[in-house]
Amino acid sequence: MSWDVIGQQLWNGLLNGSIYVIFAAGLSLVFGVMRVINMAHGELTMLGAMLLFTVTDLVGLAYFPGAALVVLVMALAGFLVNRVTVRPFLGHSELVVILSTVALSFVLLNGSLVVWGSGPKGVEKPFNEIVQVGGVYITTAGLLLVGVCFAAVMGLYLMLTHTKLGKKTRATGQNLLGARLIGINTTAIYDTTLIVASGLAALAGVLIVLVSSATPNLGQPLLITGFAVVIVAGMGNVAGAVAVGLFMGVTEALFGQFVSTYYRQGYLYVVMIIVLLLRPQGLFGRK
Amino acid sequence: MLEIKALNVAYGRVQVLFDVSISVPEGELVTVIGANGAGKTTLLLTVSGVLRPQSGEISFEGEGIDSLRPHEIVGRGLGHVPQGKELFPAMTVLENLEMGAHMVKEEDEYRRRLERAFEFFPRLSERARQRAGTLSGGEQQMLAIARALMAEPRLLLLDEPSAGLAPIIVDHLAEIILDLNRHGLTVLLVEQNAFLALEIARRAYVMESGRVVESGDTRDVLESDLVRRAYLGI
Ligand SMILES: Nc1ncnc2c1ncn2[C@@H]1O[C@H](COP(=O)(O)OP(=O)(O)OP(=O)(O)O)[C@@H](O)[C@H]1O
Ligand SMILES: [Mg+2]
Repeated sequence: MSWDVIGQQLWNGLLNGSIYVIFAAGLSLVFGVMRVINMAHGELTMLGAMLLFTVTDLVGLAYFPGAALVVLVMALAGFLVNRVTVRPFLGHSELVVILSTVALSFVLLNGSLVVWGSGPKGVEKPFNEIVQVGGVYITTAGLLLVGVCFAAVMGLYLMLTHTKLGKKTRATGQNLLGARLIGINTTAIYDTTLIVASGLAALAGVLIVLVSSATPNLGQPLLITGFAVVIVAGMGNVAGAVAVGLFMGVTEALFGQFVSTYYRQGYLYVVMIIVLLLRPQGLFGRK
Repeated sequence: MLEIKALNVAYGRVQVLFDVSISVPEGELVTVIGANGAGKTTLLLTVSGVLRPQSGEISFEGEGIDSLRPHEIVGRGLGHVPQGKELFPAMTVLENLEMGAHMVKEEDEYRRRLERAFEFFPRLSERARQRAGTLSGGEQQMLAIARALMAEPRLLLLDEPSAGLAPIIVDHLAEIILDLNRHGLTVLLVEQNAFLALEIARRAYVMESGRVVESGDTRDVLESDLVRRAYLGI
């Protein structure tokens, strides 16, 4: 094996890992704050990609304004996701909320298949030079993807740890009744949490098209991978999800190259099962 | 200051409060005592807007609050230290206090409140950087009270603050509650520990199976056969 091949797979893994990171961060945020497993998170990412296709290819916007518009609209849609599929079912069994988000996921997936068809759609990239670093081929669009993912995750982290809204969000996640009794408007916190998570999911979607194409089917496999990341990290641990997302992306690429492409997705699950056997609360989970 | 009139509250189909009426005049320290399951916690959670009454009225400083949401009720000046303390366990003592004052915009004002909290609870300033989940039971209770005080409420609801604490800490807590009351804070104290409650409160209500069965001056309530038998074991 040559170093070039390893380097290339590290880069590919970094691209995938960055997407996993930003995807899992949103999934983990919703669970950590609201104890809600959002089965429609993958479809929100898919919608981000498909809507970007529509606004660039059909409406004619350039990539950047199109992506900004899509992320903004999808963030606002997060409010509806909360009010329609989550909030009415809180206080019932957790299973009910899971089912209602599964229902949302089906509606979005099948609706998208009707609107866009199942074929992959390419989106015009803002720039697409290929540079060679050592023996590794790196695209500028890929660099943009990695940079934006890390900026977004850093932004989320700083918001949660350094702003009053972020601290109130963490407090609500740690003790809902305690938060209500000191006067935190937890309804507003839940709304914002899904707004942020939905925006992050859509951001993943508009970034994915920088390295592959948009298709209505991209959400489901991403959700499965996202769960593996979130579970290995420890449910609700956003910082842990970042580390694990990157690790999974990179080692998955190396596994695909050197062990078996065929069992590539299986690899993530084997990692998940081993971690759960050794540490049921996940790597960074408490208790 | 707080007027509760003919309150009926149910969990689903099971009614647990029946026509409860309680009055807390401004500046006073009023206690509600009652055995396990009498409905004391239910009463306080209803006042705070966490539970919705089926019927009855709750007014605070002359205005009805029974249709307000919890954060609006806190905004009116009503603090609540819940039975389970309900702290933010992964946050530090300092962050818990900061959350208690989340509505305070000015940094100076926040500092002033923090200093005041540490004056009442010096122990907490020693533990400022420790995670709340790692505090002892007594420290957690102090933090829960201090956190509620950070909002500078005019009325404080206290749900069994003495539960599970050593007698010496209970005495200390009683001192603090009396001190807060002397500084002008109106207090509604719920207790199973009738000794503590009757020692420091001027007015007392006795609850049994969701009803108020006795009320009046603490001394009169102390005299009543019912209380002597049921709660004091004399
Ligand atoms: N969430 C709930 N769902 C159904 N019933 C409840 C619930 N919470 C309390 N109850 C019932 O309501 C009644 C009153 O409970 P509550 O907690 O108000 O009593 P309490 O006086 O605070 O008791 P304790 O001194 O043990 O704290 C009890 O019979 C209890 O079983
Ligand atoms: Mg109780």
